[in-house]
Amino acid sequence: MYYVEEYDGLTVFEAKEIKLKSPSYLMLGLPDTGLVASISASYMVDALGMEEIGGIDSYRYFPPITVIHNGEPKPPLRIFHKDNMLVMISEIPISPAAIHPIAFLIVDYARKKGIDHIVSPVGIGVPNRMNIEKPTVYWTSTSKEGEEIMEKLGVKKFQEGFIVGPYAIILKEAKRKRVSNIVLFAEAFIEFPDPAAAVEVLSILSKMLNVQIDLKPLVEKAEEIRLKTRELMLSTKKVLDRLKKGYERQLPLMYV
Amino acid sequence: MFESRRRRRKDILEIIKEFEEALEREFEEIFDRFLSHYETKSMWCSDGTLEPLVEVKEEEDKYLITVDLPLANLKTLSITGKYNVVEIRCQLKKDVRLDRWVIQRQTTFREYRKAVELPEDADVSKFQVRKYENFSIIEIVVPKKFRSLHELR
Repeated sequence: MYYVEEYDGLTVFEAKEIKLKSPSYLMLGLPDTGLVASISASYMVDALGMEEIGGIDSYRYFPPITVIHNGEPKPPLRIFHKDNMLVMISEIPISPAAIHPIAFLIVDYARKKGIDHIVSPVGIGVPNRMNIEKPTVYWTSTSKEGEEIMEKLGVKKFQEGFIVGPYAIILKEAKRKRVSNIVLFAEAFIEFPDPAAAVEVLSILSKMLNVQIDLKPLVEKAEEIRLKTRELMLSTKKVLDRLKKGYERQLPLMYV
Repeated sequence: MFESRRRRRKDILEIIKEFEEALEREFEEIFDRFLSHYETKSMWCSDGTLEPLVEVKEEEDKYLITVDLPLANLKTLSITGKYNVVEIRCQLKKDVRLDRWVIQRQTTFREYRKAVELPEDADVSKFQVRKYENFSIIEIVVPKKFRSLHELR
């Protein structure tokens, strides 16, 4: 093991040394509304042929689960690397008790790795999603550099609203610790997996990261992905309900 | 004297045992509470049927059931309403096999099946269906039974 760190009941580890090119990004794939982050992060790892270099595990916050992929046991949260990119993907929804420690760990890990921008793809549940052919993506950022990147790409800014869940805590913590966090909000189904929303996020990310990502296979396999991610969606929905995700549909106090 | 010492020792052992039992109960409770955050039911059945994701919303005069049916052939959709249960069945466009998944590697999945139980005031005989073919999603609108003012009183 190249690097191991205990962090408030969580263990983050890297199996080999990595060198990140600049500017560096940490993309998050924690299950949330429409599984937008999970689908886009998994697709990114596959499309770019990223290498698995580590993970995060916890005997305190995660259920007693070992995931087996290609015959090998893996931690529930895995870290992948290529060039200037790190991607974190969680196989399980983050339980309410784990949200704060994981958010703190992610922001701290990003600082230690010298990450320039944490990228959070977030699904924002819209009740009329069935009438929207192409989901709109909005952004917010904790840094001037992040703002400049998104403004250059011509993406709309997320003006008003609530955000609930792990990405909300990561955003606040990143702001507090002066780490750049770019959040991409994609309109998505509230209760169902939404690969079409992931396609929109990835098309923005490919421009932002200046990498070619062929999105055609994702479009073609969208229905298959929806079929295969039903259980993760159901489990995520259960956790999101406990987090009072419904707040996101409320209007915040404005004009004061 | 020996008797009283033995009793005291026994008392201490009993206290430790009670403490151990209480600790065990507490751990089990924490564990159950922790696991209750996760949905553990399987949505695949070895008879080749899949359970679709379903969302039920109640409105003033109706229930809205939204069903996600990816890879389904919506021409084979069959919906029946009896008592207060709506049963949905729909075949897949193609067979689905997951050979790398050890648990269900010999199963061929061909059909979605789901029974949705609604409250007693749902008039399941009068349901209407809207199909969103481009999303493979259907919406079943079930009106509530008309209740006269006399009944409400």
